[in-house]
Amino acid sequence: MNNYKTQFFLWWGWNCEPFENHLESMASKGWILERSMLGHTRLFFKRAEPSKIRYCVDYQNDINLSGEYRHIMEDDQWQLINKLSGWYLWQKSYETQRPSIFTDKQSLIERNNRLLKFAIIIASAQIPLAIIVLSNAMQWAHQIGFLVYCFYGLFFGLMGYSIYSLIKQNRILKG
Amino acid sequence: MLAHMIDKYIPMTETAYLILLALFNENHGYGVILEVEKMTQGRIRIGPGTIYGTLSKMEEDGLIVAIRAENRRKIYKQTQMAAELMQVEIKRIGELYQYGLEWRLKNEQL
Repeated sequence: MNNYKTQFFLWWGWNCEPFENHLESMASKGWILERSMLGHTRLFFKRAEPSKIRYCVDYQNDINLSGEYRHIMEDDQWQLINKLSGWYLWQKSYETQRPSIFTDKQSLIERNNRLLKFAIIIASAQIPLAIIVLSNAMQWAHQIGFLVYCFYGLFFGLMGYSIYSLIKQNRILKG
Repeated sequence: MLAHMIDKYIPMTETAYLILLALFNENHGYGVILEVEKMTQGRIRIGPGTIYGTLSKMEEDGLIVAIRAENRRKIYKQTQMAAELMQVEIKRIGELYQYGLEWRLKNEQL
């Protein structure tokens, strides 16, 4: 029997719950996440005893982050699986009460605001480059120009949808 | 400054209220989680992400101050402004509780 398994799981930063629930479900079936790569989408599991493990994703702006963040998390028995460009993937074993790293609406709103700021900065930073590239793309070979238009269409579409989703989530949380 | 904090924090969330109560005595972040859990007899266990965010915001607003570090962990204590803010909030909660008692009395009489 193979004791290792790899998976590719696509998830979105504005909706981490399906990803967290998937990892928890795998752990309950005896597949514990060992490490992750590529924005926590490529997952490496190891066979172990079925366990109750809670997984939580957090996004923190690393520039402003103090050492206190990791100390508080680790003091509360959370283990860091991996950190990739501000995206922290934490795990914690539990018996009865399912733990969570955020326990009130305000901190969820603040996490969403951090993500919103990140998405707006990334999208805004791409606009000048997109204008230059797209204005030149018309002179390129038809297929290449088409691909470039598709790429930017997809990119800005995704950024726009993520910004809209985060604003909508915050409106729901604020009630 | 206090007026600005009153506008920002009052009415307080349950989390902020319990954290400031817990920081009447100096403590580190995880210690605050345990103190709140003890105070509420296990009913509330604040998540570490919530504690970190709330403590950072309170420190920025001058409601708490890091007085020293122990084992590379900040030890916090509430400031005079936090104490004054808590007085305002406790008075507000007290008034609401009184209204509730009067309502209950009226309903029992009906």
